[in-house]
Parts: sequence; C-alpha cells; structure tokens
Amino acid sequence: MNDSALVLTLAASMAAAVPIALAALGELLAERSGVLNLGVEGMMLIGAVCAFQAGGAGNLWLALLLGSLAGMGFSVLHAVLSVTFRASQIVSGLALTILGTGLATFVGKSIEGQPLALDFRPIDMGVLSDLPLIGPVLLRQDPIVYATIALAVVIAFYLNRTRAGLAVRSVGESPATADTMGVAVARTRYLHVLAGGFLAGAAGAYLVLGQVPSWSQDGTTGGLGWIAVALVVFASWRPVVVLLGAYLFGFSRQLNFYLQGEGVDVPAEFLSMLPYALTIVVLVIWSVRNLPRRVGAPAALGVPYIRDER
Amino acid sequence: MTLVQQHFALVPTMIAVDNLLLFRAQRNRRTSRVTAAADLKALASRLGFEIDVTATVAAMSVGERQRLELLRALDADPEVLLLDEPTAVLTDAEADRFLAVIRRLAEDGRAVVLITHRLREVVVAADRVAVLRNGIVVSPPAPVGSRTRATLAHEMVGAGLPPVGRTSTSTGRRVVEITDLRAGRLTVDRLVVNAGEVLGVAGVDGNGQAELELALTSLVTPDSGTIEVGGADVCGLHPRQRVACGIAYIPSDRAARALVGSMRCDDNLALGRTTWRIRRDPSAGARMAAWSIKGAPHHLARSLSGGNAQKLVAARELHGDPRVVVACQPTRGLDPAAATQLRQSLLAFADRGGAVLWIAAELDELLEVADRIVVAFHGRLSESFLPPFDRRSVGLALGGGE
Repeated sequence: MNDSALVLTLAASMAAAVPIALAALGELLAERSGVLNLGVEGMMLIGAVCAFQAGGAGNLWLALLLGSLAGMGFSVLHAVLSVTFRASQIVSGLALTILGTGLATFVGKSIEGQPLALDFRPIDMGVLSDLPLIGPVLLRQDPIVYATIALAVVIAFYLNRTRAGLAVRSVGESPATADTMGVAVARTRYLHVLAGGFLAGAAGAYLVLGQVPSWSQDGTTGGLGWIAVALVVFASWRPVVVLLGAYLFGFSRQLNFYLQGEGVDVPAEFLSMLPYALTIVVLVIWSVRNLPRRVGAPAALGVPYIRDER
Repeated sequence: MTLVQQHFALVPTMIAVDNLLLFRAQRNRRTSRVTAAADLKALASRLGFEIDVTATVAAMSVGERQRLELLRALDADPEVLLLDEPTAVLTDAEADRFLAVIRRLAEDGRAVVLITHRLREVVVAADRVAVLRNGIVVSPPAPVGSRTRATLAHEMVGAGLPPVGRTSTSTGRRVVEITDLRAGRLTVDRLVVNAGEVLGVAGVDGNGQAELELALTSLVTPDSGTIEVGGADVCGLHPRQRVACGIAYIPSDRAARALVGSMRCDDNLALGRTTWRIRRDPSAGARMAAWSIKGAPHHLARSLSGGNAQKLVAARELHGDPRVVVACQPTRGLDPAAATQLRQSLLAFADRGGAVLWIAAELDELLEVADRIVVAFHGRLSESFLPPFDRRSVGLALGGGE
C-alpha cells in the first residue's frame, strides 16, 4: 500500500511537471533571443480560460490548440511593445500579467467553479505499461508528457546545433553583431516571443484539461508562471535543466499530497510551500556550483535593440 | 599614485562634475558640487583646456572623456600617474593635445608612466622608454635619445617589421561603383574600387566615413543613389544579403558589431552563413591556427586579446572569396605583430584580385598600404591621390585645404 502510493505519486509528478516545463521552455526561447517576458502568468491564465471555454465543444485537442493560440495571440502585445516600440520589457511583461489576470477573470466569470468533462488519457502501451515502477511512472502517461520531454530535447538541439539557433543566440547575446551578420533581429525576437506565448498558453490549457479540471481564477495557475520565470534563470537558460527542474517541482508538489495522505504531522501550509521552496533551493545550489563555468544570462537580455542610424 | 585605464571608467549617464564627486566620495573626501565644479575648471585651465562640467558624459566626445578621466585622476594630486593606452580612442589631433597636457604635468614635477603602442607618442612625448614584448622587458628604461619609430618598432617585434611595400595589382575591372550617393552627412558623386586595388579612405573621424561604412554594408539605407557591387545594386538590401553579394566587412565598432563575445570562437566563425548545420564546423580549429589565433574553437570570443579577436573577424570575413572587403580601422589598437599580419592578409587579398576599401584615421598606414587615397572631409570625398603620395597635400586635404 505504502509502496504503491509512492509509485502513484511519482507517476503523478510526471504530469504535474508539464505545465511549468512548457511555460519555462517558452520563456527560455524568448529570453535566449533577448526578450524578458514577465507575462508568463498572464499568458497561462488566458490560455487556460480559453481552453476551458473551448473545451465545452468536447474536443480535447481543439481546446489545447485554441488555448495555446490564445496565449500566443496575447504575447503579440508584449512583442509589439518591447520589440517594435522598445518599451521597457519589465513593465510590458508585468502589464501582460496584470491584464491577463483581469481578462481571464472576466472571461471566466460564467464558468467559475464548473467542472470540465474532458481529460487527457494515458497512452496504453500494453504489457509495458504494467511493468513494476517503470510502467506507471514512465510508460503510462498522456501524450503531452512525452511531447514535453521531446520539446526540451528539440529546443536544446535547435539552440546549440543549428544555424537558426546560432542566429537566435547571437541576437540574445549581441544584437548589433547579429544585425551586421545579417540576422533579422526584430523578426527573430518576435518569433521567439510568440513561441513563448504559444507554450505558455499550452501550459495553461494543460492545467485545466489535464490537471485541475475546473476553472478558478486564483487557483488555476497559483503563481506557476512566476516559478517558470525563476526556473529559467536558475537552470542557466538550458532547456534540459529546465525540464529536470520542472520534474523536481512536480514531484515535490505531489509529495505534498502524499505526505498529507500519510498523515504526517506537518502543517499543511508548510507542505504546500514545499514545491516552491525545494525547487528554488536545489536550483540555487545547482547554479552556484555552475558559476565557474560561466553559464550566464544572454548578454542583451532585456535590452531593446536600436540600430544606430546616423 | 593614480591610474587612467584604457577603457573609460566614467558613469555615462552622469554629468562631469558628478563623476568627480563619485570619485572623491570613494576616497572619503566629501565636497559640495559647486566646489568640485570649480576645482575641475581650475585644474582644466591650468592644463590649458576648457571643460563643460555640466555636460553628460554620454554626450561628450571621446577626447573630452579622456580629458575628464585625466582631470579626475589628477584630482587626488598624485605624484605618479599611470596612463594605460590613454590615446587609443583619440584622433591624431586629440592625441597631440593630450600629449601636450602630459608634458606639462611632467614639467610640474610629476612622474608619468605612459603605456602606449603608438610609437610616435614615445618619440614626441617621452623622456625615457622601456620596451616590452610578450610580458618581458626587452629593453630596459633608457633615454629616448636618437631612437626613431623604426628602431622602436624593431625592438617591439624583434624580428623586425617585414616591409609592406605595395605594387598595385589593380586590373581596372570595376568591383564597387558608387554613384550619386547621399546618406546623412555623406555625399559621394562617384567612387570606384577596382579588382586588385586597395583604396584608402582617409580623414579625421566623423567626416562621413561612418555613413560610407554603414551604407556599403547595408546597415543604413542611403537617402538616394546607387552602390553597385559586381554589377548589382546593393542599396537597401537586408544585411543578410551582404555576404551573398560578396561584401566582407571588418567593422570599426568592434565591441558591438564584430563578434558575439559570449559565444564560442567556432560559433562566431559560423555567423552569417546560412546553410543548415548540425555539427560544429570541424575545420574551425585549423582556420584559427592558419591565422595563428591564440585560442581554441571552444573558447569564448571575449577571452581573446584584441589582436586575436580581430584576426578571428578577418578569418570569418575573408573566408569564401568575397569580392570586396570593407575594412574600417582594421588595425587600430592592435599590437604591431597582429596589425602587420592583418595588413598583409588584406594586401594578399588584393593581390588575389579582391577589392579593398580601407577606411582609416591614421594616415601613415594608408600611405603604406593604399594604391589610391581619397580624403573624406565634411561629408565629401576629395579627388584621388596617387602614389608616390605627397604627404603634405594629403595632410592638407584632411584639414579641408586644397
């Protein structure tokens, strides 16, 4: 009994990690191109509420897509303000979160507290899924869990091993050099902010479709967007580390439920704090250990690019 | 003892006097802004120049900044003043004024240590000179005496600077043809660079060279006119088409435009090439070795010294047989060995039939390398000067004279 509860906890943490992983990978893309987007929380809420509304039609994948597109559409605002008009990225990102929270509350007024009948189903891999431990934890998950892992690997490959990724990194590190060498700085930044918005929207959509099948403005994301932003920093802008950090967060979140179920005599408030505290502590240790290797922020992060035309 | 560094240590958003106050505060000397401003002005007039104490540093010219930096260093009334490449970013005229100030300080009884690679300054301003090579004092401090630039250069590089004489290899085939170009301050009626030719553009900084540089490399769209490279108009193209048009570019603004400091050397070599790649180019190490760049492909570009970084830029740009190189201040601030290597590779490029447009503020170098020189003055280009160059008439054109 004890054992299987722990296995179930592990299995559930794989899925619990998905929203934060998606959101953080999206933020990573934007930041590697030099744009800090503090609007993750807002874009996630927009994605969540739109996916929930669209879920009423009964198609899970359509709901996920619409949620993602809504997040992306919302991120256009940040791209226009910070890339085209060179507004302060911090202010613009915060505005996105504040506006997104308000907008989502407004749009979601009629569905507050309602349940959603849709849910992602795990892929059944026959005998494999019945293997002890490995079966439930790794081989009985829904498709999005696998897609998230693939995405982290693909993004790492894209950034480090392709010319397009080279261009993105040069835009984030030294936009003037990138411009001189023929990289379209503004277009690159737009595309990556939009990709970040898409993934944040997907993260929000997955929350309401796969995790908490109901909508409540203050309970759905619960600051997850902010953890995603922090995760990118502590993971030193490396996609695979972001994924691992997300698993750590997901696991400690499920651990909270497990420990409560086991009747451990620790205040519930402390347990709910656990995922946030643990993730940050572990990642701080990780990033401090990596300091000598210099894995720092993109040098031009947060700096609008102006070609100095004289 | 105080130190004036090669890179400015001023807060760009602050006005001159606030930078002094900041400096004083760190030395536990607190004065009012009015006092500090008066001190700054008094000090400046004693040295024979004026300073606008309320000007923001960002709005000052590099010459003004350097003088402010010097004033600030002198504020502590040091007996020994250590100057690390103080004239690296100054034009010749500004450097001369600066050196005059240095002389006056020495006559006041201060000891001044001037670290410089400009040999002329040693001959003009120094009493004694020591020569360092690769971290070793190769010639201990001794009176400058009868030493000339040539003998000093010889001591610096050891084996001696190989003479870079130039016999023109121009074929008369036009590679670059600029017609009726207007871009900002710059007006060019007609300018041609032939294959195999090194065209030098001389002039004091800020006379339109920047506009020429940026227009040629598609970083600025000219107001009107055409720039033909190999017969095709390149005006208004996106910079990404620059490489495809066969225009190589060694930027004057190295810090911002030439390399991505936080990326690896091999990634920097791969910039600007559009083909899909999965592996890093395995030939990067060999290419760096061929240019005798001290560093490995996986090193970050910013870990390279100035000379090696500039060689990396040249290695990237001259790769793949471009038609023309737009080289802007390519040897400025480099150690003599790197400068010589860069000079020779650009000349070799011209010998192979490439066209070189060489923009430089230091006339001496152009006199040595160019087949033809035009002088930029107030946004206009002079008639061509041909070898043997008459130093005086080119010098006159620099000042706008006939």
